[in-house]
Amino acid sequence: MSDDDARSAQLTQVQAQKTDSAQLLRSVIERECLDVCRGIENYVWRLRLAYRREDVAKYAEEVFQEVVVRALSRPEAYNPAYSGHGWLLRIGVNVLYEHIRRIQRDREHLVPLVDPVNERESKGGVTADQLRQMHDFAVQQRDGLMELLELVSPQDRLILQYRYVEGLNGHELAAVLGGINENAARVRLHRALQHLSAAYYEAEQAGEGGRE
Amino acid sequence: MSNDRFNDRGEMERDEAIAQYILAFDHGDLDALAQILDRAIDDPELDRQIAGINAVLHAEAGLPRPEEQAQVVRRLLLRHFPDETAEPVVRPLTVGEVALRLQADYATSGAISEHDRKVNQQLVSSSVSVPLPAHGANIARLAAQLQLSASEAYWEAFRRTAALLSVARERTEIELAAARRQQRTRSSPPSRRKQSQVSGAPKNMDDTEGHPREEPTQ
Repeated sequence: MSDDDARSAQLTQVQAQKTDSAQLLRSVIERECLDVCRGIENYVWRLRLAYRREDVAKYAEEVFQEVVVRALSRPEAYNPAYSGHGWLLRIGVNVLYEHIRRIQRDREHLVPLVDPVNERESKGGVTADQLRQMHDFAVQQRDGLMELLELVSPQDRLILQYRYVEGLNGHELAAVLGGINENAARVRLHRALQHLSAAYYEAEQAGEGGRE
Repeated sequence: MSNDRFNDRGEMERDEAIAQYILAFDHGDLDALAQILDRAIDDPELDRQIAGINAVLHAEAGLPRPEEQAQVVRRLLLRHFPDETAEPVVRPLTVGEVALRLQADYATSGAISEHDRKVNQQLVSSSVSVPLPAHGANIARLAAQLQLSASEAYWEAFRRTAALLSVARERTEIELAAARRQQRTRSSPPSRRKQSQVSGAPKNMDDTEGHPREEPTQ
């Protein structure tokens, strides 16, 4: 076999591998499409890239198109061992980064795209570390927690009490919250913990300010 | 409480990741979201949990329900299958295929010298790709590369045949892709965007851009 024939055979083999990768990726995209679209819509909504709900779907659709085009432009970059949903959503985050940069470039001054979910969080500005500390405290100090729970709303207090004082697990928590989805219970729990952390650190700062 | 997800170490770590994910989402913190998604790429269970949390956050925001979303997703899938959006893949034309066609042509016309016929016979089994476009310079380089001596008239006939075959092949592939696309979209709503706009990717996007693990963002 001549060098040219060998090169040609090698090229054919590479093309065949690329086709296999594309087929695999295509099936991953088909399988994960709904969840990935849903995740992108969440990000678009939260980042206020579109304000009306009907516009969120359109915007997310465009982002998803970019995700698919990028993924398929180099199918060999996808490792079959990866979680397809997370991998595609991660590309979506990269695409959104670029959209935000473009928007910010188009404006003369940088404007924060995201407003905090609600007033309470904007005051607290809780960080991941603070949240972790509050979680650890709640797990270790069940008795001392009751006093802290006065800082949050009755709804938040109840869910935190169920979890940290009474020790209900995710499944049980979902059941006592009216048979809601376990994931919904987790979201509510983590939100309540965020609120507690924010209120606690806010109160702590106010206390330090008062002492000064 | 053996099934208590909060008591299992792995689950505790995942639960912490989920807590951070929700916090990052609430703050619109893409960096933090990206970090957690990077972990989820290697952890299918965390990935599954994130998908579940996303479904809750989606419903919480009052975004379209899954059944309404399914229509959008179906449309997107139809639009994005590789055989619909990517440029049709045209197999490279080989020297052997051109020589075979010339052999058939010469069989009917008989207008070829004995020497050229032998050269053509040798080329029939070659799988070397014909450089395109099939203009004179490319074919001259190919002739030098093949190290076979044939008449000028033979190489000109070779060039013309290669050009005709490559155009015919490209056209066939494009028509096939278009036919598939038409067949698929016949029962779906008309596309909101023109095909040329579908890609939507930045023009300056290089091959690696946007791929996790290949190019960390920021």
